[in-house]
Amino acid sequence: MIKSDVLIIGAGAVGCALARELSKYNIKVTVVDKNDDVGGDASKSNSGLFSTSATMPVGTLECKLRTIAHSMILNICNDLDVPYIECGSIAPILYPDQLETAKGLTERAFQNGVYDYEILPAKDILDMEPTLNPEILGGIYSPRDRQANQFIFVSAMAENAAENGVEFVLDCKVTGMDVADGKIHAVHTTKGDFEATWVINAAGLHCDEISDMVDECDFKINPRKGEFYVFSHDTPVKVSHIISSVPSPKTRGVLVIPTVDNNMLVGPTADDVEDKTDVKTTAAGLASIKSQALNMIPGLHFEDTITQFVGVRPARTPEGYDIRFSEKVPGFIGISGVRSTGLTVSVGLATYIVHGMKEHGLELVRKEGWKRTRKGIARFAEKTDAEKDALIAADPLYGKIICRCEQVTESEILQAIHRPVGAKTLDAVKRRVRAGMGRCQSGFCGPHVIEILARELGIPEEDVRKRGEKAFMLDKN
Amino acid sequence: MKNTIICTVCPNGCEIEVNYTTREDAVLTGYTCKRGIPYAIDECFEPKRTFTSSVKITGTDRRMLPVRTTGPISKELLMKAADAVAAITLEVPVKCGDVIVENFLDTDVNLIAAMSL
Amino acid sequence: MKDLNCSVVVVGGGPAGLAAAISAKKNGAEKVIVIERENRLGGILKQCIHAGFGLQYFGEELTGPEYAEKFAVLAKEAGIEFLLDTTALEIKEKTLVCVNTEGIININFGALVLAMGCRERTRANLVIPGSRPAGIYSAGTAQKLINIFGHKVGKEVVILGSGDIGMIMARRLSLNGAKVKAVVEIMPYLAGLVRNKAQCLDDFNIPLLLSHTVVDITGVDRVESVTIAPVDENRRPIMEKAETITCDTLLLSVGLIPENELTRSANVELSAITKGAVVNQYKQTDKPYIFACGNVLHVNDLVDHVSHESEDAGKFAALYAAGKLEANTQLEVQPGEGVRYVCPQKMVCAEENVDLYFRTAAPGRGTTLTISDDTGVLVTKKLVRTTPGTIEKLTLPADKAKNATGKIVVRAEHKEEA
Repeated sequence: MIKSDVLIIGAGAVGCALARELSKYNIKVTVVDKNDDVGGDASKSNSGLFSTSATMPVGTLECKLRTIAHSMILNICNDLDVPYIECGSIAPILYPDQLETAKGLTERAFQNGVYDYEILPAKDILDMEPTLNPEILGGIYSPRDRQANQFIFVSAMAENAAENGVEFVLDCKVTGMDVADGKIHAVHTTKGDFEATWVINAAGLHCDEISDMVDECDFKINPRKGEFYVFSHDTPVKVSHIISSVPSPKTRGVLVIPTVDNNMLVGPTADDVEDKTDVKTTAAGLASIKSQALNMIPGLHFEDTITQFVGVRPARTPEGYDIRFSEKVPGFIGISGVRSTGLTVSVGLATYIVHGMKEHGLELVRKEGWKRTRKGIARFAEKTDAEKDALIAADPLYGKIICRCEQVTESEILQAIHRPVGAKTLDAVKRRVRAGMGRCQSGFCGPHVIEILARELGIPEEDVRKRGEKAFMLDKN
Repeated sequence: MKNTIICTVCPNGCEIEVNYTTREDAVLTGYTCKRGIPYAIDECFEPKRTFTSSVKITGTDRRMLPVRTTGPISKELLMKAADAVAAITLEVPVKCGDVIVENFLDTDVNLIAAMSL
Repeated sequence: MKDLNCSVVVVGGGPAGLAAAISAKKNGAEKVIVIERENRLGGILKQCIHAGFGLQYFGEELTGPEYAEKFAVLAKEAGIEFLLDTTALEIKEKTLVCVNTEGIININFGALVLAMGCRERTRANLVIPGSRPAGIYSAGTAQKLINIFGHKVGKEVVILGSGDIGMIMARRLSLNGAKVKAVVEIMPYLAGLVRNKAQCLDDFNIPLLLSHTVVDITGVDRVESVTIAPVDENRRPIMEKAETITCDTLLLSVGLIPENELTRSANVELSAITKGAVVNQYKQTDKPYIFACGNVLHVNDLVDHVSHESEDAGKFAALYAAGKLEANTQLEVQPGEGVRYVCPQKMVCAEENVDLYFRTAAPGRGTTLTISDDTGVLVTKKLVRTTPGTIEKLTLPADKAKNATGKIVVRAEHKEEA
């Protein structure tokens, strides 16, 4: 039995932001997650956008939290050494019926306090983004929309929380709870029982299953599938702004996104599915993204994609953020309805919830010496020759390149494995340091990363996983 | 009897037609070099293959040593050959061409190392 | 940071790099350095443990490692210097920036030979729908895991693509006790060599499904099944005829792409068809001090061809470094009807034989191959049959090469389609 003051179920963006926020205080915090890595499900498979609340429904909790979070997030990224780009976004207006919609959106943005969201003439838009379809009628420009490395964002928050005393227990699925007399006596998991004064349901896609365990599930989570293409760095036509669609009967909202790592993302689709584990790309979905994206940017080279993936977002019925301090089971906090905005909102949500916990009687004493900052893993590929030389002088393994496509060195991989809340699988290594993220998709480095993981974790190579519990890379016998 | 054989002696992959009743009276067409003749006849009566594989080796970073037979062995023996090499573990040093198993599976050909480690 | 100077630096210690280095040395280059990122010479041949190499070059059938070792021994005897465990990062004018565990090394060269080989096309290049579980490998990665690391990759395997590595892996997996359920090829003909179908698929009763492709992959953790479907003449899957094959592993043998990232750093002109550098018969790129050979130039079928081509690259790199290769006007060399590409893409008119390597566009029988210039047909060769899987070679004799005018065009005409 692991006892803590607060148990957070789910190590996605929200769970990790909460863990970091709570790590400021003198309490014991534990985070459990069914996956082998932090970053959850939806938090890792998305487009890494930090957008303003311009187009949010006015007056909702989601809108309010997003406005707050958007103003906090750059400081947090700087503190945690999370790479981001201030690229801004452009929504090209392709059809006359989008003009009215665009005007409505600027009005809404004003009400939401986003004053720098405006419609520009076609020429000005094309000067800013010459890759756009020259037939556009104009476009909406929003300068403060950003893109960040979502994997590093979430793992940096987790790493920092762990440095400040939070315990992460991964590969740990919650299977049930002992609830009696308005109290959770035990949380059962695949790694034993946990006990805590506060239990926070930050399980995202699976929050309905967790809420159901305390009989508080009056909503439904509908898995909504989004497919994406990822482009190679060297594709000749690239955008420098996030290109989004103005809602219209003819568009469903495909985006073309420049990323901090220089790989364009194009997607997503939005298809409601039954199965939360349905991460299949489909011929129809990929074809639909392609035609919509080409409509906005005719020059895109789809033959230069290095991978396609699916993210499953937790859409909620009824819609909207729901943050509930249980009355039936005091101490249980349910978070549901956090959808694609969750990446940005996580940092605002964390502060909001911790404030709520104080109001509900949690006494929090601020820790002395809380570590605010975290340094990222120095990336060999991004350094000058002199800096590379210095890295190698300090650690010769910075001179041993394992992933040739992304020029990732053995030193970076070892750091990814051995840092707090480190990588235990190939995908977790890939998310932290990009080994296998390049054009050959781990064809060359895969066998070597398997070897390194086995050696560093002290396990047989046959036990090395791509991710999850049973995704073994090799034949086990 | 009439057989069409894809010659594998070299990468040209000639299609050789063999008309025969016995090994001696076979008539061949379609070959572009003489090396195809004995191959095509063997294919009709006793098909043979050069066997290549790798065996475990210790004492160096490369864990598997490539090996091959010095000549073709009966095709029927390939699976047996694979089982036989799976049981072998060697130690460095090994020179390319070193005999690992003499008279491999009683075939009169040797199993040799195909790399120096 | 360390500085080195040499006449010729070769990037890559595989068959192309070694042949180029030996040839550069033979042709007078004083100091030749080979950069190799692995700890042994031989490149991809180290994992190609099957036989079939060397028949043309050495006149005997060798395995990949044996072929590589012969060249490595020759290279060492020739006095070539090697930097192993060293990765080339960037070409800055006439300096190659490399790295190893001792730091950054700047190699100042007279001429540079690109010999980095190629990489495998991936599932993403083909846009195969489905989930992304463990158990999907490119054929070459599986080859490395099995032949070098001694691993097993799976028990029940489907292979997409009838490339040579895929067929060779079908045999290797069968001998290792795995069940290869099918080799699936989207084209109506084989992608690799016919001999590999005979000795790798037919010998093990592995079905080859032409005009089929993989349309779905199922499995959350590990591959559980793949769905295959026949394709119509436009290579579109006929979904009504799709069927599911249970398996735990999918291997992809769907083509190779020359690995030209380093080449890009030098702004060398690349061909959209071969994905390699545009060169003349000296294997010289539009940056006259950079040469290219082997699979980084164009994907070859036989290593024996690679050795021959690379010897040219090494020779002319040495001559360039010594100031003995003059710039001359060049003619364009182009693929005509029936030909997918020709390498070299440019030709200097000099009194010497010029070898043109090319692939046909489709298989056929009774093929007539020709080289023409603006005045008409210069060379004709007839073959019983040709396939795109095999590289063909035509030689333009010295007298005709010297006097050629206009555009050089290579054509292939089949009497019948295969």
